[in-house]
This record gives sequence, structure tokens and C-alpha cells, in this order.
Amino acid sequence: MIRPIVVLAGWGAMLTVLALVLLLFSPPQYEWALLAGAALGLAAFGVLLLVPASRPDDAPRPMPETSLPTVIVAWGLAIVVLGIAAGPWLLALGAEVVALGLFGLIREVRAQRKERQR
Amino acid sequence: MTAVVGALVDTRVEVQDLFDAYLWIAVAVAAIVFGAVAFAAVRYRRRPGREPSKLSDHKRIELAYVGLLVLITAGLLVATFRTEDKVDAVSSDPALRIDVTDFQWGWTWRYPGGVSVTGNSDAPPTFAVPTGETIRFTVRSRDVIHAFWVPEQRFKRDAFPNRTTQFDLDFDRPGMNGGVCAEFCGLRHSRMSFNVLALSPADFQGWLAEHRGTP
Amino acid sequence: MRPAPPDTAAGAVAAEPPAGLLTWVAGADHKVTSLRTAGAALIFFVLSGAIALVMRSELAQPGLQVVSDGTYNELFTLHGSGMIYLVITPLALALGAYFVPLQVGAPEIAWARLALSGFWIYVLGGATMFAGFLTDQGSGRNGWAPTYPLSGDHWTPGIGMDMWVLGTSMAVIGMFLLGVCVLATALRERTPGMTLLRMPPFTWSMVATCLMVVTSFPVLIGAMGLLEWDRHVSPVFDAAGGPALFQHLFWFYGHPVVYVMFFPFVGAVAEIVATFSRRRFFGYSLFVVSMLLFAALSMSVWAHHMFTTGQVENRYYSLTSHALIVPAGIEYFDLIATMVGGAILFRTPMLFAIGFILQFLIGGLTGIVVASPPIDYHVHDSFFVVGHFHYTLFAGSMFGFFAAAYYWFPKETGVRLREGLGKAHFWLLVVGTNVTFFPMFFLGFDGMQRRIADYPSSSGFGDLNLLSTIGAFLIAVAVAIFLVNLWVSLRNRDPGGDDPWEGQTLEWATSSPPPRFNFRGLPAITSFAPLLDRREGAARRKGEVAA
Repeated sequence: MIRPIVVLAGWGAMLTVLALVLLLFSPPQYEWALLAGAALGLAAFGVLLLVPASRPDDAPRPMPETSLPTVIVAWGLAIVVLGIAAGPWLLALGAEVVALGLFGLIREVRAQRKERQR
Repeated sequence: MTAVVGALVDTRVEVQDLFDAYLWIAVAVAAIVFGAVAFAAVRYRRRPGREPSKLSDHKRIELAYVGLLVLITAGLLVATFRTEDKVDAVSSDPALRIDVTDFQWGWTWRYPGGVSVTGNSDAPPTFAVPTGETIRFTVRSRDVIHAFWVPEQRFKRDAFPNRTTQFDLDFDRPGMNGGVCAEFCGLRHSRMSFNVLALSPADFQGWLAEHRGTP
Repeated sequence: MRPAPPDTAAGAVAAEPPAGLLTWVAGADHKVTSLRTAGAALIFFVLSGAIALVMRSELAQPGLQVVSDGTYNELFTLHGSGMIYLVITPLALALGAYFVPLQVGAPEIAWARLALSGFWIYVLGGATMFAGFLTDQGSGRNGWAPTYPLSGDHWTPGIGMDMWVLGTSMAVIGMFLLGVCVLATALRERTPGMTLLRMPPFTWSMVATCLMVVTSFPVLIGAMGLLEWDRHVSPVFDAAGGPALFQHLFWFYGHPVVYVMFFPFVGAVAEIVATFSRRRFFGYSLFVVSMLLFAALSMSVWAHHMFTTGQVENRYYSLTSHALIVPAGIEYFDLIATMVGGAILFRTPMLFAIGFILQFLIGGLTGIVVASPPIDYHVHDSFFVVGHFHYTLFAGSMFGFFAAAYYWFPKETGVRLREGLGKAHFWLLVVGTNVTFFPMFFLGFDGMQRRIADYPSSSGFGDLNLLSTIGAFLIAVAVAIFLVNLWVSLRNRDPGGDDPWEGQTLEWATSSPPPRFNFRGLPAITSFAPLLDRREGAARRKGEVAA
């Protein structure tokens, strides 16, 4: 039985081999770095992914039906990005919306945890 | 890029031949796949009482097939690399050197002896070249990325700002060839065209002489 | 039958409440996120498709009849950008978001809130891109894959272009987040007994897809961020090697994304071929390895988009591009081998699956043609390439999408799509697709470059362009039939039940649509086709009893 780390490591190994072959053709540094960087990025992602799931298998899943705070955070982030073109006023507005959403999100996650402990 | 002295490379013939080889292989593969699917669709229609096969693996056939795919890949690569060596080759002693500058949305060709011809999308220019001789083109852009494409020659190369690119072309026979910019370069990209008039070497000298007077 | 994880303490296992506005806006259920994403993508599809009809109307004959040069440049940019960033990528990831959790027996997608946020960032990005049309100087107008310095502030000024750059970034960020969740689900949230090598082919295709998403999408975001910086803060790409660097950064994403737009559909087609041939998918283990190899190779070929620059190692990129023949060939072998020896039923999903197989092949073969630098020197940036990628993306991926849509619609809604309309949609689309895109190979080889609003009448390109335009309008009618089918089927509600097709994978072992947390009980997971195992086991036992 293979484990997820094998899939990630195996794929990362394929990328590494391809990067090494590219080296044989004397590319400029940044070109080689793109492929090598992808392999490294994958490793970083693998570390994140393989942090074990925090709850046992059969535990109840009090995931809410809806999560409006998440939507508000997403809209806020989008407004921040648009603020890059429109100006600092929009950036500030977006940051406020994100803060509002995060506040609601923290409350939501706390309530979810309390629910689980019941 | 290997230096090839004195050998003419007709890019049109080289590229066309390679393309034809790829095309026939592609047609053959398509015929096999279409045939196999058609065969399966007809022979293995669902009929009452027909039990589908339980076979879900056949390692030996699969591995043999992979070997075949690797062979085909290698064959295509060998053919490609051979042609590419010829097409990319830059002679150590070209008969003629032409400097090409692309700009939004036209072309300037500079010939030896100070002859310069220019034109843009309002009046696409006609440039002459001699047949039967290796011509070194040095291409650059004055602004954004453009591309120099002469479909009759089956050849194209991008023109970048702040750097030059070099390639050789040999025009086989006299005649008019169309040319276009193939890299999207802004508003009038559609209209950034030119003509290449291939002339016998004697006629070409005459053309040069005519253009020597023009500023 | 193993017991299901208990449903949420917050809600009893009763009838599902009807989906209200709040659910559509903020519902965390991966099924709602997926349908929302697919719905938005279909709206962008209609918009981008309408743009294509305007483009084809302009190109039908020489001379400018419909729009100006400048407007045409905006149109082709939003057509391509719309289709790639806002339509096919989201449709591909939405399929994964709906069905990977189900196929691995999970009650929910990993990090469901992240997926929800990804949807909104994508939609807002898309809206931003299109809103560029309303600005003074027009929307983005350098194609879906801009070059530098053209895309710099000097040569393409105006906030519409900035909106395109930022909107694109947002769309890609959104899809990145969705891809992360799908990958995490397959790797972490599988039900006990669902080992990696018991994941169905579709789920494996999504794993390969999301590996590419996770490693290549951030590079696009970086490239667009740097471009925006260059446009308004300080130069980034203005050195002599800058334009080439920008292309490397762009295409490092730009190539894998086209495989992101292909793999989920080949995975769906694999499921459909197996189901409608009533067979286990052939060559599973080699298929899994070849998917991963295909994905890895796809990360290494990007500079084949730069062969004509004369600034990259053509040999390497040609080598890795040709090597794609091996995994692609394996997948085709497995698909056909599944059909051979099967008991095939030609319902609409299977028709579209076969259409995908045959038509994608043309795209794939012409892809090998352009993998050869000397040939590419001729056909790069011509309509030959336009034909090539429309065969892979439209004649291939979109047919794969329609196959998946007809196959999985009963699971998502509880209702079948109508067969008659489905078959009409299929046949008209086959004709329209080939009439539109096949002539492009000839036009390109004969010298018609791409991204042009017009061509001279002396070129002789008029006849084939007219033919292509007629095909485009046939496509439009076929797509309209599909939309009508969606509408009519939802109104008339012909129920499909839990398992209308005798499916083989876990999504068919629950109700249609599945409840909030997907399963009320799971069968034993004995292979990548657990329901087929169960049916074959029952048939064997019946045979033994009778004997």
C-alpha cells in the first residue's frame, strides 16, 4: 500500500530528473531554477499536506452549512487586489473588509470547535 | 549552430519534407486509432447475452507497446534534429548580409553599400534578394517583439528589442514571396506585411543600383 | 456495509433543506461550490463564445466589416482569456471538487472554506477582466498570453489592461485554492479502505491535474504581479533579456494549464468508457503511472512556445515535448482496450466520450507536429496552431466536459438529461467543430498568421474562412441545444435514481443528489471499481446458488 508521501516524492523525483536533464543543455540560471523551484515548492506543499488530520475518523463534522465570513474575506481580498490599480483608498477599503470577514470567521471557527466538544 | 561553408540549404524543401514525414505518420496513427475505435464500436455493441471480458491487464503487451512508442519518439527526434541542424546553421561566409529592423508597423532592410529600403502598413515595402546565394539576416526590433515570416520559405524568426538574432536563408528560384509579421505587436499587426522579390544575381545587382540613389 | 461517519450534530439526517440564496452565495458544501463554479464558468463560456462569433463574422471575408482593428484585438484577447482562465480551467477543477470527495468516500472536501473563497476570487477576477471593456482605452488587448514589452505601460496604456492583468491573477488565485483543496482531499480524506491504488482513474487524473496546479499556478501569479509592478512602479523586464524572461515565467504556467484543462476530462472519459462498456478500466496501474509522468513532462516543455525566439534550448524542449507521445499513447491504448471486449451502450455520455477520443487525437498529433522546431518555425503564430489548440481544447476538452455533464448530471440533480436532445447536441457539435477548425490547418500552413483582424483579398484565404465561420454558427446552435436540454430536463424531471448507468465508483452508492455529507453508508472498498466488484460478486453467488 503506498502512502501520499510516495506520490509527492515520486512526482518531485520526476521533476528533479527533468531539471537535471535540462542542466545538460546549459540553460541560463533562471530557466533551470523554474523547474527546480517547482520541485521545491512541491516539497513545501507536501509538508503542509502531511500534517496529520486533527480529528479521528469517526468524529462528527460540525462544518457549517454556510460561511458568510469566508465570502466577505474573499471579497475583501479581491478589493485589495483591485486597489493595486485603483489606488490606496480602495486598498484600505479592501483591508477593512478583510478584517471584518476575519473577525466573523474567527467567531465561526470558535463556535464550530465548541460544537465539536459537546 | 554548426558552421556550414558553401552549402545551400533550401529551408522550404527541408521543412516541407520533414512536415510531410510527420504528416504521413500522423495520418497512419489516426487511421489506426479511428479504425480500432470503429472496430470496437461495431464488434462490441451491447447485445443480450453478451458478457464483457473480465481481462483488465496484460503487462507484456503493455510494455511492448511502450517500447514501440519510445522507438517512434526516438525516430521523430532524430529526423527533427537533423533538419534543425541544417535550418539553424549559420554559414561562416554568407554571400550577402542584410540588416532588418522591425517596428510598429513596418520594416527597414539595410543592404551593403548604404542601401536602405523601408515601408510600413500604409505602403508595404518590397525587398529584393538574389537567388542561389546564402543570405545572412540580422534581425532586431525597435520597439516590441515582432516576427519575420516568409511562408514560401517555411521560415520564421522573432525580432526582439535590444538584441539581434541571426539566421541564413537561401532563395531557390526567382519570384515574389509574401512576408508578414507573425508576432502580435499591437493595433496594426494585421497590416504589417512586406514582399520579398527573389531575382537572379545579375538582376539583383541592378535592383541594388537603382536603390542606391534613393535616400 | 461499514457505518457512515455520523452526520453533523447540528442537523439530523432528515430531508435536505431547499437551497436558498444564502446557500448559493456562502454554502460551504463542496457540491454547492462546484455547481456554483460550473455555473459561473458556463456564463463566461456563453460570453466568450459570443465574442468568438463576432470574431468569426469579421474573419469570414477580407475587409473590415464588423469591428475595428482595435476592437478586434480586445475581442480576441477576452475570447482566449475567457475560455482559458474563466471557463475550461474552472470547469475542470469544478468536476474534481464535486466528484473527488465522493469517489474517495469522503464526507466533505478538505478545507471547504478555502474552496469557497477560491470561487469568489475567481468570479470577481473574471468580472474585472470583462469590465475592462467599459474603460476609455479598452480592455486587455495583448492576447491571453501577453508578451513584453507590448504589455508594458508604454505600449499598452490604460486601466483596462491593468484590470486584465489583475483579473487574470485573481482568477488563477481562485483556481489555485480550489486545486489545493481537491489534492488535499485525495491525499488525506479518503475513507478507510480507500488506498491510493483503489482511487478511480478520474480521481487519479485530478491528482495529476492538481499537482500541476499547485506547482505552476503560483508562477503565473508572480509573473502578473511583476508585470503590474513594471507597469506602474519601476521597470522589471526592461533589460535586454527581460522579454524572454517574462515569456519563461508566463509559459511555465501557460503550458501546464493546458494539461490542467485536459486531464480531468480524460479521467472522466475513462470512467465513462468503462461504465458504458460494462468493464473494469483496462491497464489501471500503467494508466496511473502515465498520468503522473504526463504531468511531470508537461512541467518541462514550456519553452516549446518560444522555439522561434532563437533564445532557448530547442533540443531539450523538443525532446521533452516529443516524449509526451509515450504517456499519451498509453492512455489511448487503455481507453480503446477497455472498449474492445466490452458490451458497449451508445448513450449520449459515451458518444461524447468517443468524440473526445477521436477529436483530441487530431489535436494531439498536430501537437507533435509543432513539437518539431523546424516545422514550428513555419507554423508558429499561424492558424495552424490555432487549429491545433482548438482541437485539443474544444474538440477534445469541451467534448470531454459534455461527456461528463451528461454522465454526472443525474447524480448532481437527481434528474436525467434528455437523450434525444443530447444526441442532436452531439451530432451537430461534431459537424460544427470540424467544419470550424479543420480548415484552419490549411489556412495556417499557407501563411495566415494568428491574431489578425483582417487579411488581404489577394491571399485567397476568404473561402476557407467563410467555411470556418459557418461552422462556428453551427457550434452556437449545438450549444444552444445543450442549454435548452438543461432547462427542459430540470423542468420535466425524469428521475435517474441513485445509479442510472450501472456505475462502478462510490458516487453511485449514494442518493442523487448526495446528502450534505455525501454518504449514509459505504460499501466495502475492494478495488478502484467497488460497485462493479459488488455486482460481479452478487452475480457469481447467484450462479453458485443456481448450480
